[in-house]
Amino acid sequence: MSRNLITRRTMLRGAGAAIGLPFLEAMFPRTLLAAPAAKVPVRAAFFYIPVGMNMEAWRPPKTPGLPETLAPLKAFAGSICHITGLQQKNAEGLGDGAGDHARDGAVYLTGMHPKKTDGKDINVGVSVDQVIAQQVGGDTRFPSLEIGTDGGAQSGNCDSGYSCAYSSNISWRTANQPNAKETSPRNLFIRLFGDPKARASEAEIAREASYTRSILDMVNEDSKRLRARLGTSDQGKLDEYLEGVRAIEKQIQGAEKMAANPPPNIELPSGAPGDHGEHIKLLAAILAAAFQTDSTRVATFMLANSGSNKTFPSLGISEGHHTLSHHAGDKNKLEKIKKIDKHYIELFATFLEKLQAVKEEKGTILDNSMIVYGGALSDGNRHNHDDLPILLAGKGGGTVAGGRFLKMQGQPLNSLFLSIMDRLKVKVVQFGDTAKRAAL
Amino acid sequence: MFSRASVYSSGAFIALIFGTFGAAPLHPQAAPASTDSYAAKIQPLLGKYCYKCHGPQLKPKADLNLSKFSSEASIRENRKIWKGVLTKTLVKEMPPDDFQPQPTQEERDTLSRFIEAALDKVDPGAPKVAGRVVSHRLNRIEYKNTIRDLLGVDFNPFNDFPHDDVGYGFDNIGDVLSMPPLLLEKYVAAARKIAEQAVTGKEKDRLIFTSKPGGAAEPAAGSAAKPKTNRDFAKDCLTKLGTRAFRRTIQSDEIERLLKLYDVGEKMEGGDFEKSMKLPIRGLLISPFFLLRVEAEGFADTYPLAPFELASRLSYFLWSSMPDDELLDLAKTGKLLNNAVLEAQTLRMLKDPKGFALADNFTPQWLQIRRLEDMKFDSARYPSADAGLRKDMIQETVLFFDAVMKEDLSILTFLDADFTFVNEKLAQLYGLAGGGSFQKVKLSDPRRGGVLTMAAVLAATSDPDRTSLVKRGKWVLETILSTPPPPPVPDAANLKDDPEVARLPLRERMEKHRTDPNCASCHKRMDPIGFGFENYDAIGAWRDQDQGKPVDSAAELPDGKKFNGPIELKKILKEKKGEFLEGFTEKLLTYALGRGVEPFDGPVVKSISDTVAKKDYKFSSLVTEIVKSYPFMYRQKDRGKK
Repeated sequence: MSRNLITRRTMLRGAGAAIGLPFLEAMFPRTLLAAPAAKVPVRAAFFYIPVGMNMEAWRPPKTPGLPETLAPLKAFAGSICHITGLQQKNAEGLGDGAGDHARDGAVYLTGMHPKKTDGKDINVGVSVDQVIAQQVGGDTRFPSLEIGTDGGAQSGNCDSGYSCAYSSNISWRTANQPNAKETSPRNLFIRLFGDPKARASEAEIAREASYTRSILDMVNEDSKRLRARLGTSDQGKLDEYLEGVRAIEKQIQGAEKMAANPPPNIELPSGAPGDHGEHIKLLAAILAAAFQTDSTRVATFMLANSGSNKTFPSLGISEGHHTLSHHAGDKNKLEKIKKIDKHYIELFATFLEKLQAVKEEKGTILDNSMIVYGGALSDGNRHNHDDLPILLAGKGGGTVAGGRFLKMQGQPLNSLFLSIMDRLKVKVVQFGDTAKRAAL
Repeated sequence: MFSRASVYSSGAFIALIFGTFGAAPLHPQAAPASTDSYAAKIQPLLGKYCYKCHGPQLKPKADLNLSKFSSEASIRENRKIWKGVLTKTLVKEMPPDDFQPQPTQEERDTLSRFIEAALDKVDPGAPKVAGRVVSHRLNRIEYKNTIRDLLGVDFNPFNDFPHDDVGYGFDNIGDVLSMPPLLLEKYVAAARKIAEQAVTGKEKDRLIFTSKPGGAAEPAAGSAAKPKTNRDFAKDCLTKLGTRAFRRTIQSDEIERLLKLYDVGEKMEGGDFEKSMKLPIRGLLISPFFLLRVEAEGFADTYPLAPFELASRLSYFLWSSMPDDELLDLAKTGKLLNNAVLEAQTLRMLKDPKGFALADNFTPQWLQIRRLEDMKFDSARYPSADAGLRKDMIQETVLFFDAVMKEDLSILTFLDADFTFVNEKLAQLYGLAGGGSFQKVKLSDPRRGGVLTMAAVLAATSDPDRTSLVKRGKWVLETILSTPPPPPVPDAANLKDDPEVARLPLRERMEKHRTDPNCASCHKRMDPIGFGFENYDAIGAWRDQDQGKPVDSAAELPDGKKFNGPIELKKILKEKKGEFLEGFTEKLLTYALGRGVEPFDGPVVKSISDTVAKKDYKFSSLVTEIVKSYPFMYRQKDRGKK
């Protein structure tokens, strides 16, 4: 769309008439609510790569140093924990039969076992990013960002009787509501920073804010009328809708936190990038800018959808990623998987580079972040969900020491998530199948 | 005041009460107690050969417990399951080869004949189940079309809105069409852009400003009537527009809320009437009554849809868009509930140019070829398979489907036809004469004709660098025969990709599937079909040789039927009319309802198929039968949970 509905100036102009705010919140002076965080914020992001990896080239080598796949991360070695042995038990069949790819995506960040269904009564669990967003997301204009390169599956069944909702989303707001992701770098940029070529005048902006409030007022009334006519499952739909309405209201209220301008080191992308790698780089750069401007503090990034069968012409690989992942020990295929794994890591490195480049009060953004990279599938040929390939990048605002190799044999990935949430001051007792914290 | 009836005009309400409650039993009667020979003839066979894996144990294999069935009627009520059992009995897929003892041929015949006979009957007293469709959020294409028909604005949401998730193979399933906050943000922004264009658009006077200051509606000078204010005109416009946007009569309190927005707009726009309407239009476009296809909850357990709701089901099924004025009028008077009117409307809508939406949206999803858009073929081997050609392949199937629909041909045309549509690129791929843009061409070569041998299907079931016997075989079982194989056993892939095996010639490689009983049961159904299509390369071009060797496309199906090459295989598949029709009915019903077809829908699918077969398989008969069917016209109350 042409420009943002709301900017910093909107709020200054139109702060008077708050509509639809919960009573309690509206009673507080705005300045108090909006007070900038006293400390430098700590961010969390979760990157996902589908169909597992070439585990031999991923595991720590016998000689000191990084394994081959991780070579592109050399410059950040001091900020990275290379973790082996974690597992997501709930991604296993547990009597549900085939569908390891759908479960890889669905369980990765939720830690829960998804209900096997092609559509009716979809159910998995709230994902870690959303638990975080629900507790600390209120401090930023966007409680969380969901990013990816693939849209939804186009048709057909996605994986052995699992709805495509499981394979195309890793972020789950509730157990049955996935968070769709933004795939267009251009749209993501405009959503965060507006369209620099279509800056509105102050008067226009003020008018727009007032308009939007009036409209939301009307739809809130419509919704009340509608609710009385619906059955419970339909009311769930309406609740989802209203949650979106509230999020927009909140964006108006939180307008003072919006960056009026994007950081100088990034430009509005022109159109859809042709190459998958370029696509990832662009999205990652915008995510870094979102962190830099404190527009959000938590994000998920699906580098490709679950079970992806992408080819990599730029690497000279014409077979699909998923097809290759069933390598059956074939050296040639394993070599190609390694190449793909390393390619993804190179792209991840460009993201870390951006975070490293921005200095803040206490070190760099990378120092004040915890970025998880990996998936809930280990070796694509074995379809195993233990011995997961996981990285933790960033120092969590001085709470995580980098440059380490951590063996967490047999521990749930969820215990790592709990440790991360503790460091973000998120109050949570249990996540997925565990209440134990991983020692970081 | 929020009773279901208050939504609708009183005329419709009366029709609802008096016109339809008697039309079908609201409280289905229980089926009479079984007196059939199931217990005597069938149960002992199942006990001997099936219950060991599919019995009352805690976790029966494939989650299938056959011991819970007790009568012939219970077979009919669980049609899908028993169709599977029938297939597996006929082709000797079950019990697995390593199960001892194996049933004799006579025992297999007893079982399969009994199931066939049971499935073939229609139980007149069988309980009717409507099923429940969750209020359905407009998907992207529906949003686009609705905006076009409501306001005359061409808006493309595909670049902006997040993808619609897919369930049961389709992107219009109410259960999975969620409404994440990101989408609502997009709706707010889109509404603004659309309203901006709408009030200056070419069709504004027809669609929006149906009465306005200075227009013909203004009372003549000197008349006694009080002159109308701009707000009065706005009220007239919004009453009409709101009724179309909400796809039902708009209520007075709703109009008042819209007028409040008009007031805000008028103040901001300095009294400009047309510009002031932008704001209420934006309100309409963000209202849940616009974004959701609301179906109100009724009092009874199962109840007929209100006429306006039925109009929406019909228009979103056939047009992927809102009902037009004719439909809304028939809904308002309740006449739409009359079967003859409903049928006539269905036929009118199929012929309307907007009916192309059904071909355009259903076909690529039914054939599972949308994935072609994102597939990247090995450019060294298939240099022509660029995005353009892949799009053209999909377009061919859509135009073909549209022709079957518009000319009201037999549904069996999908299996074989003497015509198709090609443009220059496709003509080249097929080795046909013809150039330029898409045109209908006659086919004389039996190697082409029907969806089985269309490039889109052949390419979508290939790997980026080679054909895949298994994918093609699986596709035919799923899409044409409606007997999908179960998912592979967990470590099935190991055998497939064993490097020792990989070096073997194709046929020997595939023979390996038979050495493991876990794989054999399904692969003996898939692989032979795949062989039949080996004469088409990974993008669907004909080939006599593969890597210097003659293509081997002969095989034997599990029922013993032999064929040599695709022409003979197609002939065999064409004979499976019943299987194809029932499967196709199920897919179209899924799309029409926007929910998964459940086992309880079996009898409906069966009775629709039977009627269509009697009417020469005509496409229109299938659509009208679906529209008149119980699950399309009725809705089931939410039975709790949550």
